[in-house]
Amino acid sequence: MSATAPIASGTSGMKTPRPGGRLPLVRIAVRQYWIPLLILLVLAGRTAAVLIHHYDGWADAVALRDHVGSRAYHFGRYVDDAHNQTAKLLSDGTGVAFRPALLAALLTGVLTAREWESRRVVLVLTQSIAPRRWFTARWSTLAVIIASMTVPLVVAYRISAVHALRLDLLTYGSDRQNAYYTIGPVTVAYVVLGVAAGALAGTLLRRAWLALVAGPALAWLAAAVLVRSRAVLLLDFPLFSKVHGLHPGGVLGLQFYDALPEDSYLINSLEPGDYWGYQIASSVLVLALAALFGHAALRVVRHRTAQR
Amino acid sequence: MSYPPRPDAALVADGVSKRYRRRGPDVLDGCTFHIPAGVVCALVGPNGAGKSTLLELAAGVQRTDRGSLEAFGGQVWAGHPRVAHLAQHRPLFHRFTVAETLRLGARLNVGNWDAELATRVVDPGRFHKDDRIGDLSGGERTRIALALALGKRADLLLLDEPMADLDVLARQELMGLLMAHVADTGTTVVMSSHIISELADACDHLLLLDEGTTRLCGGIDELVAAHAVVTLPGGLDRLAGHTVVEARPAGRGTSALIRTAGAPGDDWEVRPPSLEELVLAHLAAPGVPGLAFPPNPPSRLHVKETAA
Repeated sequence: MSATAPIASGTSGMKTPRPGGRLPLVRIAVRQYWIPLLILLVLAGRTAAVLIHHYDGWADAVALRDHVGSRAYHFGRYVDDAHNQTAKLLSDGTGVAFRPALLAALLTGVLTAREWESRRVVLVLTQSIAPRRWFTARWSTLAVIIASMTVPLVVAYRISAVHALRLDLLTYGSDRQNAYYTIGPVTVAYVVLGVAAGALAGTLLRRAWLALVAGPALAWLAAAVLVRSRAVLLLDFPLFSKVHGLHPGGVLGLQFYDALPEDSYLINSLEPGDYWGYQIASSVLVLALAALFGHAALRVVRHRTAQR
Repeated sequence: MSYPPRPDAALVADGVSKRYRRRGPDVLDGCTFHIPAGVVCALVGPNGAGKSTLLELAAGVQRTDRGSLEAFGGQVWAGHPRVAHLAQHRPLFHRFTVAETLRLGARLNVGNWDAELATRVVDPGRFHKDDRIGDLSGGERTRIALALALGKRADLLLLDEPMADLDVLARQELMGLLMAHVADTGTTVVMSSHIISELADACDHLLLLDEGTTRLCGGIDELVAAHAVVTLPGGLDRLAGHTVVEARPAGRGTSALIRTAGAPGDDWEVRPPSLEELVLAHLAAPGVPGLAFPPNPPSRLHVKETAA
């Protein structure tokens, strides 16, 4: 311990801590989690920088198309042709589509499990605060912060994808559908699902190493189940005017965009006017599942501790 | 059959059982006792007797498997503003500084926080404002944890080996501060320790646990008065009618610690046992029935089982 001047010598020396400020539980959570969140911010910053850098590439694509013509741009072989540009956009999208959700599940799972594993949770459970409120505040804080980091990535990606679609710079076929429809509000909803899955895994398992694997696995599994269910739930949704495209195969009816399970039959059937309907309907389903996981995690806490 | 709440009781256990693994042994097995409000109770027992588990159950950190545990006439629950708990492993957030930890206490006990008392506990430690909890020694962490427990302004303090990590001077100083606080406020204290002589000076009530059950519970004076150390010529047969807790040959006679039931013989040497003798004798004689002052009412669990 340092031998320098103490914070207090006599009762007058110690600053009496003021209880509050606004959102005291959020401030405590941020104080505890700032290092892993900073790492996430750096990762998000890197992905955003790549997206912004690649946005400039659409000007090269436009120049190429003007030079060689639309047909050659789409079906020829050039460095900046439609195929390569779409592949680049899809590659950028892999960092946005589901990885933030997996990272959110991993982080929440480990942090939650660590709190139980180290038994530091006892410190909080014996203060004048309901466990439900404590955990809800912590998980909500994580969800809001990670979602806030994801939103700019989604916006940057969407600006790029919409720009390319409007200028008809994307290749035709399933890649175009994937690039345009997959990322949006549902991506942010997946982050919330990741936090909820991590919260449930961490609370149930109470072992950081187990939660490290189980959190992301649960988030992925939930997304996979949801996508398969969504195929049933949404295929005949009246919002979608036409259904076309072919089912390109996959594992148990699932295809993947990076780690994100998706139903290509549904994706291929969408038209630009369907984007918001599809995104909002998917987001509602994902958020409902996240709420279910969050509720289950709180039930586990309730079952484990004595509560009113 | 139901019993009305007993407002004079700080902590009442009725047939409390707890096990950690489904097929493991019961850590607490039908534990029943009654601790009046305003006493300083020594919680004593060998390793594995269930002392820490009992304190955690009383703090609401864990849930009982069977039986009920009431604090001030109501069921215990995590976050009870009238109950404070100092856990054996001193759970604290290691990255927080001392000042931040006190602020945490203030934020988690809004309207219920005695900053002045917490400061009085922390001050003699002469901490620097940047000292992190993780860098402090075990004794220093105990001081901080004790400040959080006392600062909560609780009516029931559950202290799990509060003086275990402290040096002699700190022990004396903190015990003095604790006793002064108790004298000022009438706070009920349940304090576990292995150092019986230390408890004898500070406590006026005893709860002896062994193998998860209550062996002795009551005012120390009453318990001591109910027992006697006798030395008498002859064998054990002369002690018929009394409950012999422990006996050994002493020369041509017998020395025994007995629970008196009637007048002693004229040729007996009789003296009251020390607290240490009383505790050790009961721990060495698991077959001797327990004793409680006031006597425990019949267990509600037992009544229910009989009715069924």
